[in-house]
Amino acid sequence: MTEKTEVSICFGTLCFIMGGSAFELLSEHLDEELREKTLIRGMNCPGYCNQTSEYGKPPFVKVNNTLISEANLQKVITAVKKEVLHGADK
Amino acid sequence: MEGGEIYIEIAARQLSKKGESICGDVFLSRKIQEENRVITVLSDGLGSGVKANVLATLTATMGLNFTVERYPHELTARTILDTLPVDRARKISYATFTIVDSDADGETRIVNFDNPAPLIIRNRKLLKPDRKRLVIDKKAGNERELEYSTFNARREDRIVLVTDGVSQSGIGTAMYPFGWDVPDIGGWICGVLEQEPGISAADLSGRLVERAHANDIFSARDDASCVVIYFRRPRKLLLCSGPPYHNADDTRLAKIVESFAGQKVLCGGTTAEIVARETQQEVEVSLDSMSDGIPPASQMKGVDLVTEGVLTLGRVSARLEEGVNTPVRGKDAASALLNLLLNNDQIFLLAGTRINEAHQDPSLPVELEIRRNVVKKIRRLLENKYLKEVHLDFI
Repeated sequence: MTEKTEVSICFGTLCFIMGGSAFELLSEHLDEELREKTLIRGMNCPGYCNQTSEYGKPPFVKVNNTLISEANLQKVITAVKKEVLHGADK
Repeated sequence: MEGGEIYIEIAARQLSKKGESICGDVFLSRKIQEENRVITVLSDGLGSGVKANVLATLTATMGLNFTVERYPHELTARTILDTLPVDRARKISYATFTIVDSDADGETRIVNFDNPAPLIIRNRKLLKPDRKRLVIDKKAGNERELEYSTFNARREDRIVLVTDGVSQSGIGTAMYPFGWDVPDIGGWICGVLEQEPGISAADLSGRLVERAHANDIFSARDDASCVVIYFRRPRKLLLCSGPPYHNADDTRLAKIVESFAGQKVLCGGTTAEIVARETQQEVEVSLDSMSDGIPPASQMKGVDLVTEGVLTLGRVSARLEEGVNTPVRGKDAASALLNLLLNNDQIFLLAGTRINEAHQDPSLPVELEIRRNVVKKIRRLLENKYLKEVHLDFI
C-alpha cells in the first residue's frame, strides 16, 4: 500500500468566505480511485493570510507539502492527481 | 465561585381541556431584580375556555401584583374574590390560586387557595412544612380557608404546583378510580427524580402534564397545568472569542478557560490555537459537522465546543434575533453553540480585542463584521430576549 495523499483545507474565516467553503464537498468531486488514495482533513488557520506577499491570497489548501493559494476545485483536483500519480511512479 | 449560589428555574406546561383552544389555567411569574425575589402564581378559573381564562388572568395578575407589594395574604384573597364577576349559572365568583414568593437566599412563602396542595420535594422525598390556616370571608356561613406555609429552600429542592386537571386526571378509570391524587403525583415525581436527578423544570413539568394527559386516555377532561420551581446551582457557560490584545495575556486567557467551572466554548481559530498551545492540547477540525454556510466545528480536549469566529457568531446572532427554541435542530456549528447558550443560565463572554489584519481589506465580503459589535449584539439579545444573566469582558 502506498501512503495516502494528504489534503489539508484551511477553514479559517477568510479562506472560508473567499471560496474555501466549496472544499467541504471535495471528496465528492474526486473519482473513486483518487478518493481512495487521499485523506482529506480540515485545518485551523495557520496564518498564511497574514503574509500575502509570501504565500499569495486565500483560500489556501495544502496537498501533501505543496501550498496552493487562491485555491479552487480545479487547482486542487489537478494537484491531487499529480501527487497520486507521482506516488504511483515511485 | 461562591458555593451557596442558588438559581431559580421556573417552567410551566399547560394543556387545555379537549375541544378548547384557550387554557383556563393561568401561570404568571415575575423576577424582581432589585429585591432578588421571584414570584410565581398559578390560577385556575371556574369552568373552561375564554371565561375561565379571563377569571384566572384577573386572579393571577392581582395575586402577583399584591404579592409584589407585600400585601397581607388574607386581604389579597378577599380582594380577589370580591372582584371576580359572579358566574351566571353557578351563582358564585370563583378562581383558585397558588402564590409562591421566593427570595434569592431560598426563603419561600407559599399561599394556596383551593388548588391541590403544592408539593415540595427535597432529596427525592416530600417535605411537609407546617401549614397555617387563614380564614377569609367569615360572613354568610361560607367560610373559606387559605393555606399558608414558609420554608427555607435549599439547593436541589423543587416545588411543584398543579391544578385539579392534573390531580383529577384519570378519574373513573380502573387505575385511578378517584383520580391521580396528590400523594400519587408525589410518588411519581420521586420516581422520575430517581432516574434523572438533574431533570430541568421545563422537562419535569412537561413530563407530568403528558402523564396526566395519558391518565385521561389523551382526551383531557379539564385544563391541566403544572409549574415546577427548581432551586439549583446556576449552569455557567464561558464563551471566548478572539485573541487578547497583548500577546502576554495569552497565558491568562488559557488559565481562565482552564479554571472555569462550567461549559466552555472557543470561537475563533486563533483563539483555539492559543488555548491549545498554552494547555498543550490538540485542535482537530472534523469534516462531519454539516456546514450550512459556516465553517465546521473542531474538537479539543477540555473544551465543549470549538468553532470559527466571526461568521459563526454572526449566524448565532441572526438566529437569536429571529427567535429559537431548545432543542435547536441542525448539525452545524452555530446550532451547537445556540444549544449551549440556551441551556445555560449565566453566560460569561470574553472578547479578545486584537485586530485581525487580514480582515481589514475593504474589498472583503460584508459578513466580516467587527467581533466586538457582534459579541455586544449577542449579549443584548441573550439578556433581553432570552432572560439570561450575561457578563461581558474584554481582554
